[in-house]
Amino acid sequence: MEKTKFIRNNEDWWALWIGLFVFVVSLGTFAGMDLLGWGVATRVWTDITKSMAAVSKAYAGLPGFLALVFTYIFMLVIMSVGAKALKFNLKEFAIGFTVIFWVSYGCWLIGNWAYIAATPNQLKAFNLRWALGLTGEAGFIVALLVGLILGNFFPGVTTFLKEATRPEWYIKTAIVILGASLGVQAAGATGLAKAVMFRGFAAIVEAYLIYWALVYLVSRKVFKFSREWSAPLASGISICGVSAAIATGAAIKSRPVVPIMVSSLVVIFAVVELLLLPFLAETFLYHQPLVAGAWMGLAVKTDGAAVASGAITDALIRAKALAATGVNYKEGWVLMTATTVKIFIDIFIGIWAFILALVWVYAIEGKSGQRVSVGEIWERLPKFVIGYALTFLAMLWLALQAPGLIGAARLSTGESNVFRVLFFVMTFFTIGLVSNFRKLWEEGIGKLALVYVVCLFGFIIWIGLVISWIFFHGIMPPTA
Amino acid sequence: MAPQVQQPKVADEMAQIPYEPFLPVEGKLIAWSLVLGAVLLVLLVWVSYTFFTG
Repeated sequence: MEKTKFIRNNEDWWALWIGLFVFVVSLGTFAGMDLLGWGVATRVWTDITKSMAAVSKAYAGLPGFLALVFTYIFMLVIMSVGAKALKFNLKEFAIGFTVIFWVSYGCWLIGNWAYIAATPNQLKAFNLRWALGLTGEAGFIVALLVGLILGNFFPGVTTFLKEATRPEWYIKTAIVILGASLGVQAAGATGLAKAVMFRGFAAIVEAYLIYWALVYLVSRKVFKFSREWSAPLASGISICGVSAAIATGAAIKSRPVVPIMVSSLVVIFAVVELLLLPFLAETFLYHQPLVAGAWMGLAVKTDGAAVASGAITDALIRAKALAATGVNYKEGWVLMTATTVKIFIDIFIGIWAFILALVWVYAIEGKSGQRVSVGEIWERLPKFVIGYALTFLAMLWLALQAPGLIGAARLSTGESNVFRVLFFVMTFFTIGLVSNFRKLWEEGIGKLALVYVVCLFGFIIWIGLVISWIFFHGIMPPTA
Repeated sequence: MAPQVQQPKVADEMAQIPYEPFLPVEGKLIAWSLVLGAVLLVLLVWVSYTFFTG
């Protein structure tokens, strides 16, 4: 019975259920049923009245704004089912979700304005002489900046939206949906997909072993933190931010306040990385797109910021490569690499926490009477990862077994992608909302922030880049 | 009215961090981790460039 209670009260599981629900409904295309075709697709625009339309041609008669309203209602309903099961305050959640949805969509729309989004090859079509060429994904940055402004200068707004400000839930749901799109892509280049997966796995094994040990050493020897602080700090800074800090805190039985304080810094610095690293990658790595993708997965902490930075980098690098070299890479491979790396990191959190628990119980604390259960690995496995694997493998299998159905598979993932993108935008906006930079001015935070800055910007980002380069240089995405 | 829960302050927590000598077992944990990382790097690079060429 305890297990059932656990399932019902965990955002991870509800990201899995909701993501799978969208995926299953989208499969209607295989039976000739276009069940999600009314979802809103946003185009790069100069005339706002032509900026949105239904994603499927079967719904061509549906006005764009109505498609947006239907999309909002659908997302509100499915998320409210999860919110109800999770025992959120449903009224506050619905109001908060509504505000977050519409503000996020507004940001997405701004990002798709041709002067911001149009790439050089699109200028003629829009009759423009110049544009920033950031692609529609600039909407993610707009959403993040608006979220940061509201989160840091209007704390009342943040409090008002608190019940629905759940970036990790949104990104995890999006990742489950994303698995299907990446499965269809992988079917078109199975050798490349296998290489990305194995090399992603190899990269994170290296990152875990090198990152953690170095951060722990710096924290203990240079900054003189205790073991209770050093272990969650090492996991939070080096591996996967919030979830790793919490898992490690639990594994070594630290007081709950330790991972919580570490996590508050993780979120802030993840935003800094999210604003910097994709543009650095665009400038220096546009000729090695998958190195850039792996770098985002290895260097940017928290699921939301890492996958989000993968999405921006994907768009920026494709636009830059097209402008600078004339090579038009297929969309999604940079994002796939970043997501694969991040997913492997998430899978390994449980294993790493288990190893640390063993070391702490048997070697450091010497409590021979205590036992560490292997079941803790399962307990700490983020469950949305299962959803990502399921949708990825199901779509890959379908596309490989029945190549004639690839059109239906593309339509299906194109329609579910509408919701994936909107969950992404909402993730960016809510990451901004929860990133309270005033925390950095809190008394006593200096030492904690310093160890973070020294480790993150001193070596983690650069070791991540070297590991990404070693495993991914020369591996190129297919061209469109 | 519900009693106010006192949130721990970062400054207090930082001030209370005790000095703990660096144990040999911690050194071993770090050394093993880095050595294993170096050995596996060679192995994983070889496997990647031999069997997973893309």
